[in-house]
Amino acid sequence: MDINLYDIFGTSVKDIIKEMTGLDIRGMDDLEQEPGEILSMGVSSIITFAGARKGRLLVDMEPSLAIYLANALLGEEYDNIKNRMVLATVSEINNIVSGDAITKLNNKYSMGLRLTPPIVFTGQDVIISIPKISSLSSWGDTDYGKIRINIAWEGGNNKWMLNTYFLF
Amino acid sequence: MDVKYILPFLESVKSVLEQYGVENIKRGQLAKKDIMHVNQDITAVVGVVGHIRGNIAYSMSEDTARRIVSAMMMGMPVEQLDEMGRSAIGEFANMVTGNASILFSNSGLEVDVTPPSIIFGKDMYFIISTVQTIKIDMETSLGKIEIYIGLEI
Repeated sequence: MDINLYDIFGTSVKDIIKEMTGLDIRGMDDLEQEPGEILSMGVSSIITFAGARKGRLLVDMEPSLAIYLANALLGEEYDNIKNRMVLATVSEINNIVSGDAITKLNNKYSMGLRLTPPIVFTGQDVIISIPKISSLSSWGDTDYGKIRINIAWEGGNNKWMLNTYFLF
Repeated sequence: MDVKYILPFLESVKSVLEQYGVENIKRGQLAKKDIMHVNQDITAVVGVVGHIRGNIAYSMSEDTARRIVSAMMMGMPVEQLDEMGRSAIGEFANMVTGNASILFSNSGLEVDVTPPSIIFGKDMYFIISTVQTIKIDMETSLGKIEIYIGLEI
């Protein structure tokens, strides 16, 4: 497992949220193994990617943080997590974060990764299951609520697969 | 969205279910959605990249999911949707989308499929595409499957 394939997403999410809204994310320094199922904190967004390897980034946050980000970026006073613009804001943040991280990975490892559009969702008692792929999570905290990112790569522990990229 | 991008997914759902002996597969209503309000228990989402780019979501009740998993396991009774069952639903979504990618390939469009995500919850609100999402209901002998197609073409 190359830790660069994981921690680059934490750096991107901290940098981009800071740049876009001025909000500091504390923590997000450690990576922890997640079980197969993840209980959503309120609003979740997933982007998947395919190329030399396949993977997935989940950005999950508390409703208060999602509403803060939407209000800060759009200059409005949203208060409902189900509002399309609040969900679209979280979706777009994931899109920018993933685009930034994947561009860096493609430049560094020539992985030829391409992104799907983001999906974003909210609901009651939401559980996210990614079968057959082990994943790592990193937790952060802000003045407006908690945020977590979860990164999964298919064949996540096969270091030799990554090493083959250097041959080309 | 051109119908030629929708039909391969519908044909794939039908052909994959028929492989497991499922009958009476009928295409139901078609609708356009900006935001998806899903009242089903389970949604499996698979992404596609390549000549077409987007997400396809398959939503169903837990009962329908258990019946599909049972059909995939040669009729073995499935009392609850455990980890293996959830994995099977992910595999079902993967097979349908993978099969559609072969149909696209036959038309000269190269499409790669990304890992499936299975989402459980009640009263769910989704956005799977920045453009409009097409919803199609498929009625089957195992129950209803709602198919959401959000492609950026």
